[in-house]
Amino acid sequence: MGMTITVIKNMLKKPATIKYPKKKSDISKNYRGRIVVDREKCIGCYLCQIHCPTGAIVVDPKDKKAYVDIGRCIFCSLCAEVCPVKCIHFTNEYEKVSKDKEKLKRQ
Amino acid sequence: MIKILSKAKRISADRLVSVTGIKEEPFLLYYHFSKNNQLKMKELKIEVPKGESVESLISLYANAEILEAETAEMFGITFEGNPSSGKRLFREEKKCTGQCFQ
Amino acid sequence: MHRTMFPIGPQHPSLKEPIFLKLYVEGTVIEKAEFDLGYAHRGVEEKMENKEIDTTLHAVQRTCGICSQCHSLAFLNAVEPMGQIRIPKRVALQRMVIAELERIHSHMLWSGVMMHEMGLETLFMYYMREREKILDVFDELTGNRVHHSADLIGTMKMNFSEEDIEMISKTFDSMKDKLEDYRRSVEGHDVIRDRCIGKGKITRADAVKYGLVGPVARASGISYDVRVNAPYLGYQFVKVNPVVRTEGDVHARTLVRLDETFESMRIVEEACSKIPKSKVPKYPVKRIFHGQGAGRVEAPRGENFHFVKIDMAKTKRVKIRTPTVANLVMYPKVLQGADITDAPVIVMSMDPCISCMERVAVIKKGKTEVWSSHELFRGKKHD
Repeated sequence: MGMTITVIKNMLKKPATIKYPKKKSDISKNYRGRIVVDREKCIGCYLCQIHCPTGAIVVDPKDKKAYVDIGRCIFCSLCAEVCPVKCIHFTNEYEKVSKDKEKLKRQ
Repeated sequence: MIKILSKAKRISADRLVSVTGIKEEPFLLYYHFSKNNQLKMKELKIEVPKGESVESLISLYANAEILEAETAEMFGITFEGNPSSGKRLFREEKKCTGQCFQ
Repeated sequence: MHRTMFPIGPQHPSLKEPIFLKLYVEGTVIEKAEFDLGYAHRGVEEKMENKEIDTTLHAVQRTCGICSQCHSLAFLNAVEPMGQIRIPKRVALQRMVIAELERIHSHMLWSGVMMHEMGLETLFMYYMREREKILDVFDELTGNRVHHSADLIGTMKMNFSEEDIEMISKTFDSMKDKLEDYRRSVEGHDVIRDRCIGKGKITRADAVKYGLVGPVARASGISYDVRVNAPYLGYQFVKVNPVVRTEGDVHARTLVRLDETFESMRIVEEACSKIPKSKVPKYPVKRIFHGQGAGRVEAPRGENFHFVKIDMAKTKRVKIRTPTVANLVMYPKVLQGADITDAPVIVMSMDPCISCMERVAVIKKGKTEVWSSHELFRGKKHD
């Protein structure tokens, strides 16, 4: 008798999973998602390039601004800590795909 | 062969924590011992000239078998008295040209 | 008599990570066991040569996914005394809160997979559901669910606010009743008792002789815990009671880990009530140029040890010895004489974390060179 009650209760319950992409889960605002470099403020001091563990953020010698390769980035936020003008920050977007490969290499 | 058993007995610790090797001229070996109630560990530094082998601590601490075997495989030193020294712990690797770590 | 070699791995549903265990079986009893390593080699120690110290700190945390804060703390315990940096109380307590929350989520993951080994899928799902709440707490506090990256040399990146501490309390209140219910099942359930009691026994004499660490040693009667015997960081402000049992079999190891979860929850709540009003210091605190040191901490699996050598403000050599390596010598001996159907349960009760264990040390002589293990063993680059 106890088994029947459990079976009926489980058949009437909603599923516990969230039906993505119709509904998206809430991520906290502190989450380290996509990286954004404000190139107006960047002064080309090379500090972020020296400190990056994987070599993802590189200063272009032609225009002295920093560009990020998202394929190599490990999202550790050390570049945001050492930048003297605080021009790097993280948004909480977690969907980082694109059909254009070259665009992902120079963010 | 370089003898270290008497130096290790004088330290008289409870456990052998780790065996580290650093490749410099001459080759350096660091042993760390621990007494259970103290935060700082006791350190023993040994210099190994080229081509010499080192005495194993397996008679004092039984877990020296695998710690010395890892150092022996990485740097090519022999530990006399350790049955696992010289055995292959890590599986066969193809030759790496450097691009795989870029 | 015919002897068969029965492999567990390299890929096996009972293992979280790849390791090759060769069991030589006669009938159904295991006569001898050997292991083969090297399937998760990534070259972590090679990546940490000739880099800035803060860069190495962020690379060290990526050695393992389950126990990332303990590697960061061991590295800081080795590096900060070199510069005589004084750690303020708020930084010490905040680092400790993250480390204890990590211990809770690691033990819950282990409990879930252990129940999955024995075929109890519902209990596995229940543990995973409770564990998700801890990962959401990490998301709010530090910005990521597994690799927190919250530490810097001498300071931290964020201050915990009043709302964060209230959120931690509310999460624990919603979890405690269910965890106590599950623990009662594990202690009293007939199937679990039949499969765990008396299997994989490690005596106290063996544990002392081989220098075992972690919950494996504490389940055999040795009361050794780095947080109690040699307190570091925030453990000077909060007292820890170690959990010790004397039977030494699989059942004792399971109960030690489940009891440590409750003890960690008490430590986190006491630490949160002692956080002072001052803020963390501004970055950067101090530059370190020369030195050499060693540090150790209590990870969820035992004692974690780091040895760091710094020259001209760059790290020259980092050596990591994880608790899985310290217990590795025991795997062939505990499997000898056991039945083959008990082998996955016994291996899982020792809690191996293989990705922590496998790194490679590559020697550079001024220019960039990568050596395979063949060349390292022979001592020269080309044959």
